[in-house]
Amino acid sequence: MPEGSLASKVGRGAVRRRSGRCGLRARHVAVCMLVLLILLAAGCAQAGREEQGTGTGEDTSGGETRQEKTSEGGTETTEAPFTAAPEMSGGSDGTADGTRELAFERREGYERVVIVFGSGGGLASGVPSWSLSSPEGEGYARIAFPDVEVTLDSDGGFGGSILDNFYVVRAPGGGLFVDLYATGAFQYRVTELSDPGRLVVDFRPASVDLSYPIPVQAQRTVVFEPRPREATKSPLAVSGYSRNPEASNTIVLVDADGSVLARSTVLSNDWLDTWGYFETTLEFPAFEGTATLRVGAESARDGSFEGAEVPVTYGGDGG
Amino acid sequence: MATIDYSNFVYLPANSNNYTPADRPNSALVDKIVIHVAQGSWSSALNWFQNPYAGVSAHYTVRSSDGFVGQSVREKDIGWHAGNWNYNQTSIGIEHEGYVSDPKWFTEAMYDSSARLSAYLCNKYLIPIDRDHIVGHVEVPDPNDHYDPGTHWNWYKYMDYVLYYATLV
Repeated sequence: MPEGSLASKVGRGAVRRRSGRCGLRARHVAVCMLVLLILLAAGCAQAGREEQGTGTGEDTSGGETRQEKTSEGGTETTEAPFTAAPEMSGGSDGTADGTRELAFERREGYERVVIVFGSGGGLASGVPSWSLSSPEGEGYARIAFPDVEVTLDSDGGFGGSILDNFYVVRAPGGGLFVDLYATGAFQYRVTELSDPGRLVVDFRPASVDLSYPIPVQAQRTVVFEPRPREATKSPLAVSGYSRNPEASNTIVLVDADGSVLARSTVLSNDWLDTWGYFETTLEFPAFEGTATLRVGAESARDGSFEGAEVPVTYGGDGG
Repeated sequence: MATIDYSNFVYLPANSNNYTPADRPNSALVDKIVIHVAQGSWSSALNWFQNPYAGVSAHYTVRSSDGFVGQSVREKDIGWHAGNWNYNQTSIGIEHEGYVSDPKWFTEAMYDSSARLSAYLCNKYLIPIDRDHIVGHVEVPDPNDHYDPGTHWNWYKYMDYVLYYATLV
């Protein structure tokens, strides 16, 4: 055992010496590799700070954007998939109180919306809590921000091949929501960026038809429900958002002859700062053929009707 | 440089898409004042009237907290506030910060300041100080689905104040 121990020591020494001579080169290489690894790690860490992706639901493509989630001190890198998931959520409470801008970008094979957040008059460092709903085949994505109360950007057109336009709306339960409208069915993916806080939503066309018409949109009124050509019955839920004078919205159902079947007035919850949400129910008798739901307001100038017109049919008993 | 029609308040001109240039009272008699409630804040109303897509304006907007007045449309021009062309042509529109459903917005400072303004306008254009000539938006003939200034607006107090200040002037 002692001899063995000695041999073992000598042997290890010999090895150590060999290692020592060859080790000068190897150490050199190792140091270079270490420096390279440190540089790579630093680069990844920076990317990790800048880009924190989210995304759940089915992976239908093998997405293109790197997503990095930091958890329990480690960094996990995944690919962000495009998805048709009907719901998604993320963000952190209290990191922002406003949206400052919605920017549009055309990318290779997809189009991008970047929502930039503010806090206390400046740029926010993170992304506030959000939840996205996008019923498959309906051609829109609604992103609710319950902590966000102000916006510097209330609507606009994208003019993209898949992304059409957007509205920032005062939500009925507090906060704001953003409706992003597409020109057809789509898949999407979401990425959170920090410093400044931004939510990135990428859209690409889906190879299916819309299963439901996109809401009718007029200059200061959007009718979210009912949709065009929908079979309706009384009582009918009518909802949407508007920027009509003094938040007043007139809802009239007229039949094919122009006779008024029902009329109602409802206030929206905003009109001056951004789009205000409204909802009401309309009661009416059975009618034949196609009726028109007119939602809007009298022109402040001359009282003429300004708003959206939604053709509907009767789908109740006795129609 | 544009001139304002009253003193001690801010002039933030509405976008030219939101009113009709005119030469009142030479082009049309001014014989009415229409009282509105904005369903929103003073600053938001003034900002919105500056938006070229708003399609609406009022001559004056009165702030709730201190009665401070903002002017958006010159009195000679036709504001788009009443939803009725005849009324717009012959009236001055005064918006008030607040909401029809919430009386706390209708402060003493607001009543006082708005009444001073109405008294000034009544004297300037020889508008009779009565409820036929100082009307609520709700009283503008159809088509009209507006309710403002609503049931919380104290017309008795307001008309008393207008009469008082008109006499002082």
